[in-house]
Amino acid sequence: MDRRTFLQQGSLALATIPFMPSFTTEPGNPVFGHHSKRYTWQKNWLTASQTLPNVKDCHEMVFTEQKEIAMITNDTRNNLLFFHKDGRFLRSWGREFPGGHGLTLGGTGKDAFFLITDTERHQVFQTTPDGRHIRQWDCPLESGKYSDCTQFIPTETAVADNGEIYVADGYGLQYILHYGADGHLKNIFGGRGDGDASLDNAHGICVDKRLGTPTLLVTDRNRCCFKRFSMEGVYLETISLPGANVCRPVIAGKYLYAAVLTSGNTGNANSGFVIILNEKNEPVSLLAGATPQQKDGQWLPMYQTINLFRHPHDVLIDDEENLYVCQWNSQQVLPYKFIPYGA
Amino acid sequence: MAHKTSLLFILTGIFLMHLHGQEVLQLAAPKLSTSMAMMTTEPTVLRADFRMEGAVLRYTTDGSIPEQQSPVMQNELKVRFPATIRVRAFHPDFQASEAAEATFFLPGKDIKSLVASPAHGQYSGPSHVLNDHQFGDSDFRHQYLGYKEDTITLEIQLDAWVRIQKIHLTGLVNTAAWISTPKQILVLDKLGGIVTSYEMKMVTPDVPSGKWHANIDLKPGKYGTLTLKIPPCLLPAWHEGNGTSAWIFLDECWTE
Repeated sequence: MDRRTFLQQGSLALATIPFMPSFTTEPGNPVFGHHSKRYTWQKNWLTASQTLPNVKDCHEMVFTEQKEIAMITNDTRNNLLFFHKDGRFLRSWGREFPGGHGLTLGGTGKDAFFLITDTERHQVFQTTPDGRHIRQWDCPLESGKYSDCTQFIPTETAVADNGEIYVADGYGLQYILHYGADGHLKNIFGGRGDGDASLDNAHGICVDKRLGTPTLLVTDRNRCCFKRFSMEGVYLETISLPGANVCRPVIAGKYLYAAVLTSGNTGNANSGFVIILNEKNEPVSLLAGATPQQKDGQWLPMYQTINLFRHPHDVLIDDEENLYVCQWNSQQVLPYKFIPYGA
Repeated sequence: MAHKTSLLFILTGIFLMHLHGQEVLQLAAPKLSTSMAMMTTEPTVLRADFRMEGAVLRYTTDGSIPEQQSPVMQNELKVRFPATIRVRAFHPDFQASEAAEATFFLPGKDIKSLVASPAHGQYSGPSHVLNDHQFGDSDFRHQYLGYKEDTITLEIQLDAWVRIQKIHLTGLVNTAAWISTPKQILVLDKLGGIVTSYEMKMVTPDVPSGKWHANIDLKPGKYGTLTLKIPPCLLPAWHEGNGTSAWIFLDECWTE
């Protein structure tokens, strides 16, 4: 074949390729998100030349003081998994949490601890980061709200600066339990219902200190919103996010991040994305989701636009602002990692 | 020569895929204002939403899958005739989405009354939910009657002088919530004789959610009274709940 024939045929071949993607960063590596919060996907961050753990559902993650990513799963072969930012799988522990769901980091230094919720054992556990049991909370019968311990299905916890602990009963009766640093129940609020202060799938909770005075942000997932309460449990406001069945709120810097399990309602399988709100709690970026847009002062319903995620369940932001997403009921995938783009 | 040309195409394709480095992701299906609707005397409007810079929506009205040459859909489409409208999203950096689908039905012949057997407590409601010409969306907590482990019966009173040839029944699929298609729908006449037995395909993992539609042919006739019986069924082997009872959620029932 002479050179001219080769070039002609090569050109013809290119012309007939039905799909020619434009490259925004490098070939085949699109940019996700909007405005100043955009990311590229580091698809193979978990380095291939190692034996990776098997998981059932990946539920929640925290970033430790040792700069490790700790993640809880409901897989009793290895409930707690630890990864390095560079993708190395470091270690695991835990075989006693068949319903391992919530994971929160509290304390600092040698006093650091994990709070773990177990939806099948109907309990909350405090452990050291290496798995030594410290104490636990059972069904709060003393509150008078529960008649049967199977009604208590805690999904998440939050730790205040004074050591007090809040537990979200997100799969149970929808209460928020407020415990003192001594572990005793101080207050109970929320609960199932239709009012502003009521909750419907209180899946997550965190302490929000961005405005100075700490408040609590609580997920109301079936109603696609976060609700703000004072630390004493007084309802303050609703942050409405139409179409976004948000999991727990995660605050890093001035932004609020959340995995969005599904679009619209939890019946929409495989429709998740990630949402990022600014300090005014306005959606500014959706990873694999629709461009945030308002009409007549209201946010238009949000939904998945790219089949990147199935059911995102939590996000983690590390010290370099990389973003990690772990998923529930998503073919046992391990977390995805995203690198900030254009920052 | 043709062999060499084909080989060149293949090699070029492989080279370009390698250059891309990563598989190309697929777009999600566009959001449609409805997946099923009953037509009225006014044109019905179908709206599509897909807020993504650079994306284009294309549609068909003949049930075929939209391709690059299909007409572009703007925000809404007026539907004047019964049809299945399919809409796909296209973007140069991604694989085109699966087609979102909306089916528009004629209201059908009047049903004088429809009485459904009691649904499961949590998902119960009045029988007329199944014949109010309002289709439910993906939220199974509203606009459906949900059943588990019981044989479902629908007693349908028709105008004795009206001839019908089909009966339609729709419902919901959500495999994550253990909601399945029924396995069988028996149609009985007023004497309890079997008019027809309609078999349905069980849910599969590649279609985890959506709506099912049983389009049941009958021998044309004036039936007066029909009973639909839906036996309970089990979740299939591939499902995590295999061997346990599936939920059946019914949406709308009408005749033609």
